[in-house]
Amino acid sequence: MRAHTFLNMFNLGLIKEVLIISILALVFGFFFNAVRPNPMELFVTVEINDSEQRNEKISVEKASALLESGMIIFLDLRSADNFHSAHIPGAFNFPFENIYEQLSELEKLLNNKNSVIIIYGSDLMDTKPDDLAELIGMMGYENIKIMTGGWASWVSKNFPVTTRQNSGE
Amino acid sequence: MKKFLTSSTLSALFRWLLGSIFIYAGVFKIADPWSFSDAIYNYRILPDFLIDIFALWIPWLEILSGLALIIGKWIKGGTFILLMLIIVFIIALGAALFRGIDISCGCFGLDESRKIIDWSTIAKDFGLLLMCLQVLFFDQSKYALIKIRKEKSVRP
Repeated sequence: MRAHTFLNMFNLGLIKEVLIISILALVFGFFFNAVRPNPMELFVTVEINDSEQRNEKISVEKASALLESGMIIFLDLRSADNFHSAHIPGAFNFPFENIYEQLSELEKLLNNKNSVIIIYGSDLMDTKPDDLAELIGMMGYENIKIMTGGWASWVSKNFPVTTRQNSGE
Repeated sequence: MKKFLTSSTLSALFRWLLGSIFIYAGVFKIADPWSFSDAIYNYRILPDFLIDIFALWIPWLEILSGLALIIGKWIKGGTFILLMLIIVFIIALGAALFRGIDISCGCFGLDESRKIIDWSTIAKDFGLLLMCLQVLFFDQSKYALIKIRKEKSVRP
């Protein structure tokens, strides 16, 4: 009985057999998947929710860097009380609870195409910025970003704030 | 001893063993490609777009190669594919263990899918690897289904 040597093992016949089995397996795989009642969906891309895609998030670090450039407008969505005790320098207060009363004011800001508008709520759990972003998205504006972590995150990083004392109110 | 290890009877035994193991493994994976796809994903080796394709392809490679070994047609090709698969499995298992990822093997689909891999899983694969090599070098397609049928048809 002759044992095959290592080299003559890799002949054309072997390559042919390997190719035939591989291709058959691929064809069977796709075919049986296609005919099964609950086929596996191939090449599925994860769909991103429209509003999520439109409203980009921005970190507090980036937002603070932009603050110095003067190219941005902050919208503070917290209550007027919270806003008056302290807020990000130059921010406008749009308490989300009565946002509809300030819509025309808001639109005026949104029409200012040279600036990026950054909105923030009280903290990471605050969903008001997302809700407002959706509303603004429906209004057809896109130059808006949500600051992740909100006011709490801004304060924890010791970024500049305007308080009642230093604004002289 | 050497004669036994290189005998074609042992090859035939290994062929039937390998064939049944891989057909069994393949059928389980075809029954539930989603679990197998998850198992492949957990190894974190393949890019996402290839995972599902491999999840459909590998089970049929196992079944067709297993059938080739038992039926006796394209034995070399089938054994070579199984050898490659086993090497890939060993590398994947080794990499997962080395990186300390606690994952299930996915070797036999549903039943074993909850078993966490360890070094004994690799040891089993090495056993299969040695069987493949023995078949590849010493097989004479003894006790293959097509041979048995031919012998029967010749006799009368």
